[in-house]
Amino acid sequence: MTVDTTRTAAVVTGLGPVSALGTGVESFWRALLAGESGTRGLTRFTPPRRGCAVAAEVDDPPPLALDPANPQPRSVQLALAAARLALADASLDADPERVGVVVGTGAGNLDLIEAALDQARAGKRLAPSVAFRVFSHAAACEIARSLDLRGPIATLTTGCNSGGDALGMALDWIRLSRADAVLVGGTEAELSPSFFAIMGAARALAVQHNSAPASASRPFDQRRDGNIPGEGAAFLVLESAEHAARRRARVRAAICGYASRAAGDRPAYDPFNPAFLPEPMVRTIRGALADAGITARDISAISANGSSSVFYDVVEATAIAEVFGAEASRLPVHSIKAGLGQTGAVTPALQAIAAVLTVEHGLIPPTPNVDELDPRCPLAIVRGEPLARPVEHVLAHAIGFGGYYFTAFVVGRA
Amino acid sequence: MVALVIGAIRHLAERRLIPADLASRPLDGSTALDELGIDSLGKLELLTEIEERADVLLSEAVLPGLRTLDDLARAVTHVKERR
Repeated sequence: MTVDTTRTAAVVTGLGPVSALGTGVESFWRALLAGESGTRGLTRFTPPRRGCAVAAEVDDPPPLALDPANPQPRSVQLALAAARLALADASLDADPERVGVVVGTGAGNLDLIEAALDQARAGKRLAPSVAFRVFSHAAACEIARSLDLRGPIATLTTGCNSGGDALGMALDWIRLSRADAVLVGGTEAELSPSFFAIMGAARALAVQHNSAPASASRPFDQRRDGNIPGEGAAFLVLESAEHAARRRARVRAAICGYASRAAGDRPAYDPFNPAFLPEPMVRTIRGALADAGITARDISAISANGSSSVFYDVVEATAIAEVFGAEASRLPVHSIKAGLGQTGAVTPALQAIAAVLTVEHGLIPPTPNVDELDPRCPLAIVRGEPLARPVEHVLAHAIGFGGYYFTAFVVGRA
Repeated sequence: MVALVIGAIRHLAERRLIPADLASRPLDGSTALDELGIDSLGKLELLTEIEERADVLLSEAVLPGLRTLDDLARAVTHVKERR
């Protein structure tokens, strides 16, 4: 049996951002439109002696110290806050058995692992609940438990793309009628000494902008030199159009299509002589457009991966040029990572929220910190003021760490 | 500074993290990075070893276009002086 589910959209009825640019739809959207930066000098722990000392830290909710008797890892604290915001924004009224939960998370609960290791090495007994909170699925489980949701549940862990791939899975569940509504999003809490050490060793983090932390994340800019880590969570409520109509829900926008593609075999990355191969990303974008039943001409704006990576920003610009041809230099592009850093799994979910608001309000947010565009990235980056124009579809990109895989999705008018 | 770069190469070769013949092969400032026969992970190992020895961090942004051991040594000197 062949089931053709393409071209069926899921509508978006609720948004819950928890980010360094603000918590809740209003403060998040206001900060994005104002081109604010949420990155600052790292305060959570002593930065490494050399290396990145900048982070996108979330103040609301404030970090709670781990209770040894009942530890709640930071990524779970953030996810619960964002999930509650999204459900409230949707005023969701549904059979709990028909509400699913999909969470994307990348780095895992490193804070709890570090704390458990300290306790174990000191010969102290661990609380039994550590076992239930330490694994990547903990945020999804805690959300379902605390909000009494009883439908399908899953956690996807595909690194920095996790929030976007979770959206793809939720779209499938709606299309296949596995659920009437899905609480879907991402959570990430990377601000731990081990994460900075690991990513620093892989040469992924910015090291040249510690003295100007607010402008350290510089997508597509000549002076960019790597990612800024962060924390946050973001959830959306997706519903079938029928379910939303039945309960007369406010529909903000729709998730129209999604694709992920592996790069397959490719030349190894050479830092002295990088090869910018756009082909896997081009395939991914075309897959998402086909899944949405639209063509490149239907895209009004791009929410770029734009992570301030020396390498991948050029790969992305090259892919955009190939897919959009002559239009590539006119199509408005923005990257939320200028203000939010590369906050792993949560970033694509925050991109989805920003894209929903872009479609709703006809405003494309500016990208701060782009002072001098890299000539290899000749894109129409929105700078300064938001760009006001009707937006039919936003194409959003995510590039997986190491370039092994790519994700793209389309947000459009409902 | 090029002596530091060559010292890092010899050390990694002795530990078999890059081709072992680099422990004894003649190397100087004009030796091309591509001639070393090091794979991409080996290049990252080399950069990390140089950073440890010179007490600097080399941003990914300064690496593309470096061709020889002299180029690499100059990049390290430049970062040290800027600090």
